[in-house]
Amino acid sequence: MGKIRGVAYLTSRWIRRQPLWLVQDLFIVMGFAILMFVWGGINGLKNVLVAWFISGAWGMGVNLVAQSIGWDKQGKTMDMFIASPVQPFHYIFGYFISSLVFMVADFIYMLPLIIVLNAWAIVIASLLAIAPLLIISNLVGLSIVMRIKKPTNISAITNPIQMMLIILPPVFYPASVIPRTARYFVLLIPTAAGAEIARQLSGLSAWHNLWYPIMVLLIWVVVGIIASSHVVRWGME
Amino acid sequence: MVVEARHLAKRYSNGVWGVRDVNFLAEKSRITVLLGPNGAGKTTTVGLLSTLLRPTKGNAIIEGYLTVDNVWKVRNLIALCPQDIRVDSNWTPWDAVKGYLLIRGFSGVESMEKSEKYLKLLDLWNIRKTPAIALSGGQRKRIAVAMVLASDAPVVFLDEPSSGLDVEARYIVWKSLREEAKRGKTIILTTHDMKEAEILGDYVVMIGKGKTVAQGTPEELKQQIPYTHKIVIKNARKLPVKEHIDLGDRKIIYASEREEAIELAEKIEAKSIGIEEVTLEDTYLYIVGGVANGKN
Repeated sequence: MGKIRGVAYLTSRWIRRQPLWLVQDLFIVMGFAILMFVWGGINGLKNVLVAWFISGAWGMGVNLVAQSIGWDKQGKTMDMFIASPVQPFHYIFGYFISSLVFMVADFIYMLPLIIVLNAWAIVIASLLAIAPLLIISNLVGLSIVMRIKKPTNISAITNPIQMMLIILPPVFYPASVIPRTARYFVLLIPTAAGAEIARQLSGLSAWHNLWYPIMVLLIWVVVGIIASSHVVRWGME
Repeated sequence: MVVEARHLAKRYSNGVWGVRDVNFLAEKSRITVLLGPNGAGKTTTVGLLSTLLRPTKGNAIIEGYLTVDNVWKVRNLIALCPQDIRVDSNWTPWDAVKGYLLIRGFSGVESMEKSEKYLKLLDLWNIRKTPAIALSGGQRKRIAVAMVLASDAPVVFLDEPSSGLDVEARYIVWKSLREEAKRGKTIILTTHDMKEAEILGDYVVMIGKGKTVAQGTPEELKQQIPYTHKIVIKNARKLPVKEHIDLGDRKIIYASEREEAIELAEKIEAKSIGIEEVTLEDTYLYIVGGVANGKN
């Protein structure tokens, strides 16, 4: 635990020194809540809760952890970590813990909405859905950043992936609005599958086929583990 | 023997050889300097010994463990300060050293005690709460040196730790390294600065074009060339010998002993003439080539 604590300690310094990033999240949460309420009323607000859990989980791995590790590679602090008793598990888990502060902050921002809507079922369903999604996003982020030639390009790669997989597929809107045949293709996207699981578990979806998105995420977890075990190297290159 | 490079060779995936045949022994309680020009293979050698790289040929051995077979045992024994290290701009010196010690398995109390000790040793204590973004490049470099020295790792690698440091900061780093060597650490550092190698090194390994070209104590290395003295001449009008090193308006003539140097100096017509003992730099130029190849 000590090594994980050490990584979390070091990797959380930037959040402590630049807390305005957390304030930015507050405005995004508020802005989207207003937007969804204006267009979709109470149902829109409930859907935005699901979307925030999914986008937070996906962004943590693909964006936050990947970019932070990219900076470690660029600044050579990663070489210091490799040439030490720190194992990849300590390193990744330490980053994961320090990045959790963003999810916790988002949850706190959403809390008034959750209480007013009495949306605890959505919270529990979303937490269940993001568990595999966190694993997938961290494995994908890790696979990208560990093989990238120029770590300074990491934001240019992960930001579009993050936006593309959150804004385009049915994350902020339900998959049931998509024609049935196309829905099966769209739900192959992990963020869309995660959102659909949360919506079906909490009764927000008009579609009832829970096993399909679950199977999609399980396949993504397996593919992510296989892919990352092939590309991630901890020294000895 | 603590660290051994045995016929180490590394070929990168693009086909370029980083090193071709590096051999040396680095013993406990001394500073071993890997000396060579840019591109000689010093950083690759450190990468191979510190488990960042896998050797293509040969063996890297730390405390009797082959790095390729015992990577985690080796990593428990080593600490690395990489070349061009840039500590996170959000870290303060205190954060950096304390966090690195936590990472290496020290308790909270131990890491705080050791942080204080090493921040004082590297003259960073007064700025311990200043984020690195507000510190100079030299101060940032010293943070990285403090991190690895505080780690208690018996083998420490420092890749050009004093490059870019001003004179005062360089002496602070040198003093701290000497103290740590005295405490029993095996320190391996790279440099292309001959003076640094001569002052700091107990043992010097000269690397050129990916191969070990000479090694020994600075004194032993200086004895490997057939000269003991050199005559440094400014604005020469007449030289008594043909063979000299030409540095424009300055020339250097080597002599096998002091008497010969004096004898030669009397025959020279120039604005100024000085006789000096040969340094490690002269040895390096003689053995590795460089300017020596430009002998007239």
